[in-house]
Amino acid sequence: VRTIVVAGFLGSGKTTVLLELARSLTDGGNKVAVIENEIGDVGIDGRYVEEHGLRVQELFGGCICCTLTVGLLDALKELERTYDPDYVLVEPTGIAKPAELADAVRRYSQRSERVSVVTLIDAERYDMLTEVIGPLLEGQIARADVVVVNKSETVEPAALQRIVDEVRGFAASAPVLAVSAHDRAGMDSVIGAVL
Amino acid sequence: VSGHGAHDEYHRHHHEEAHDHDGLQPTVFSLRTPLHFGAPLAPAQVRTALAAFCRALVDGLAARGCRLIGHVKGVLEAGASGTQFFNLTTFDAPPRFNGELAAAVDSYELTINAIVFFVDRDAVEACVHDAIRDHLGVSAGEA
Repeated sequence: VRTIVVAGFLGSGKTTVLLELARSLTDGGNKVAVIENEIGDVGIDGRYVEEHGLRVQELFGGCICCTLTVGLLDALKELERTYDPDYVLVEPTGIAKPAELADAVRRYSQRSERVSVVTLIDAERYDMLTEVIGPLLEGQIARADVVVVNKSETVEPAALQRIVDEVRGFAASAPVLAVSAHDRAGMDSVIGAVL
Repeated sequence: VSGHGAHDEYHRHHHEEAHDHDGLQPTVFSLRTPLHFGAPLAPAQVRTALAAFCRALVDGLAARGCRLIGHVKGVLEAGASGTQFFNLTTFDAPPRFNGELAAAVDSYELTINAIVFFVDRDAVEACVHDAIRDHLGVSAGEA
């Protein structure tokens, strides 16, 4: 089983990108399952993802990078036992530290052969978010395997280039790709980089 | 390490404690409630009502000191008439809609999940209830 964590701050487009990845994987004949984590007691994304015909396991009321990590490991084990997917796509909460949950999966999951982290950055709110939650964003970027600057359609080309350049400064060796998941622009390059 | 041993070991070391999210303290408010508009609304009218609800909600949050919206997500489920998802992440832009209603809606179930910052839960709850009252009808049990 291969696990792909689709991380990023709240509202960065995680569910949209996750669905694009899932569509590409299922088109290629793979069995795909999704784990949705909501910090609140009520789930919206799981319901939405299910409407796209995907097998979804939901975890509510906490964050799978800390309070619900055990729940994540149990959910992975349950999916492997009951569904035997080729890929599990994990959408953590928007404040999760993806590197920590990827480490937990790597260390404790029975069958995850490879764990990748895709971190999304919201181009539309980039300047405001770096001002208010800069350390969290930098942490989400720093240990990603692929960084996706999403909502590229909402900013001018020069501003987008500046954002991409700044994000590259935090991203170690990970590729940084600018896309519009909503318009499906650039998604092929993301799928190629992740898969 | 694998299997139940892995689970137990992880649990011992983790103790279900939340670690620091870089000082961020999100305020989380969720609600699921049956509502009705009082008369059937066409799908386009439902979207207009949801947009007005979102506008009132974010204006209310801003007035109470909220400086950052993580997200406001919602779903209106209306049985055979279909399901309308909506979400927003800024104070300025209208909500984005996903899904589509197939027919007019009167009674429905509304689910809201709001994660915001720099405002307390009671204020968020008040804003949500005010915006529902003004734009999305009344509880299923009310006239």
